[in-house]
Amino acid sequence: MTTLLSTQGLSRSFGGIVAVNDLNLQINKGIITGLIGPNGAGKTTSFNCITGLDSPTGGRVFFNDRDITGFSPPRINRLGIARTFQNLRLFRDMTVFENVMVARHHTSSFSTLLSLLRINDEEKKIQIAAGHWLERLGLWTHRDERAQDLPYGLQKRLELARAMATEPTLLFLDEPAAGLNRTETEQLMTTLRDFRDEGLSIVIIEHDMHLIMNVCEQITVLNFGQMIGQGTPKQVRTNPLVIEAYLGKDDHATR
Amino acid sequence: MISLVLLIGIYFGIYALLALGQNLITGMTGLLSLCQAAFMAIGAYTTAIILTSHHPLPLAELIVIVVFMGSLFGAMIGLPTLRLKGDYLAIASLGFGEIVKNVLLNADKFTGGPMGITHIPSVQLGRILISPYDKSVYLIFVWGFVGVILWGLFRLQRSRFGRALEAIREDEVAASSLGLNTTLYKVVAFMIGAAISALAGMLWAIYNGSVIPQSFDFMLSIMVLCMVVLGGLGNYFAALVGTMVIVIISELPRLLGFSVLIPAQLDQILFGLILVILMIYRPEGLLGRPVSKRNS
Repeated sequence: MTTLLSTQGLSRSFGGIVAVNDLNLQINKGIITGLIGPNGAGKTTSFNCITGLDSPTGGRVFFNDRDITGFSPPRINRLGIARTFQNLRLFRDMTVFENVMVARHHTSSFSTLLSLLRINDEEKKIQIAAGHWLERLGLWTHRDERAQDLPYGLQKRLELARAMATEPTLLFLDEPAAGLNRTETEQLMTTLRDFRDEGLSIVIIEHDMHLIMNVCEQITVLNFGQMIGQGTPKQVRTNPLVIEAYLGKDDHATR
Repeated sequence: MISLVLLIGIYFGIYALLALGQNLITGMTGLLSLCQAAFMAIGAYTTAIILTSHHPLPLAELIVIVVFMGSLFGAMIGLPTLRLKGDYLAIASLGFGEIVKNVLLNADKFTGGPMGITHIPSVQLGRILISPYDKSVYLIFVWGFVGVILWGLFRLQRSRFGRALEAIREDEVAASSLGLNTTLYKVVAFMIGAAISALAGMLWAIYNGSVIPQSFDFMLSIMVLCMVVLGGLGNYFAALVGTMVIVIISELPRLLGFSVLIPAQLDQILFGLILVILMIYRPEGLLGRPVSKRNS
């Protein structure tokens, strides 16, 4: 299995608080990796440091063996890394269609400026690609609705569609199942497995253990900004350090 | 009476340009900038200096230079501040406005200091003389600019560039993580807004035949912001409506000769009041934001 993304000694501290401490992550190609840990373990902060929204105070991030530490978010996105957010970050006042179309702008930053001067067929291509992802995620019939008018479950799906429209090779999902009901979660799991089968690598932060244990091939467990365990779902479930982090220290704690 | 209507029409047109520029920056892109007056001053002084020089340039070249100067200064203030998040722009643009005014006051070699530049000649458009003495011609001249710029801004709004600006206004973090170079878009939007204001300054300078630094103080920027907020942020027609209301409120008493009775400070109280009342009762402005019709 080949490594797609890795971090070496990634650290991020806020004043005296160390949110991520000397983290060596390894994300493999073509699989779904779960990133779990108690609240405040540094999961989202690691995501932010990797996707450029936050700058690490130490360590490096490598993507396809290329050092991408400190790259700007758009640059990282163009390299093929997309993400969603824990608290939805949709363009609320824009339509569903527009939300996804914006995600296609990166294919032509300069021609976007030129779009002021002339009509070109770039727009058509953007609409086709955006339409494809809307259809794929079952949002096509909602395309002209304002993003904020969608029910929560569909808003989450829209954010996924938007991230996918940037055509990433690596997708970071920050709590994609939070707030979803059982059926929606099952749907999401099917979608994610489909994406993986098409060659996408995915990293998921999630508290829904049903989802994590069922779709992830590999799980990394964080606590207090440090990795405390890594392996297959089965290995992680029986790792005493992980059990301790989740259930507290008790000699009789078993699951 | 006709003359008075024409006069208000001309002022309305010039202020409308300022409001349109502000709407692009604040309404469409979501950047709180408080220096439209400074960009207007740059356009006005550029015009004054060029037209009073020994070899005044023809109108077309003047327009090009004014637009260039406006966007140049827009980039100068935009590049360092727009990379930052939050409201740094508001503070920086405020400071920039004061700096411009102080430079105009003190660089008397070029700007004439507090006395400004007077005897700015009229310009020639083909065979037509554009002079402040023929108000109807000047009115058409001013509204020609408003029309062209309004058309351009509508096009911009419907383009991908406009969509990108909207996305940045809605959520800059999301926009940047979707691959949009947000700084580039913001700076370009800022430059366009500045250039439009510089054109307003050009029209102002030619119409008044003179420029003084005091015309371009902070209150003017606030007035322009007030126009846009009153009409409805992000809506160009609303910006025009807001401009009309404010122009009538603020210019009419003066033009009718009541200004002796009404203290000049009343405007400031009024603008403040309008902003506060709007924020409480109708934050979307009189007309509000239009629902996007781009896809239909």
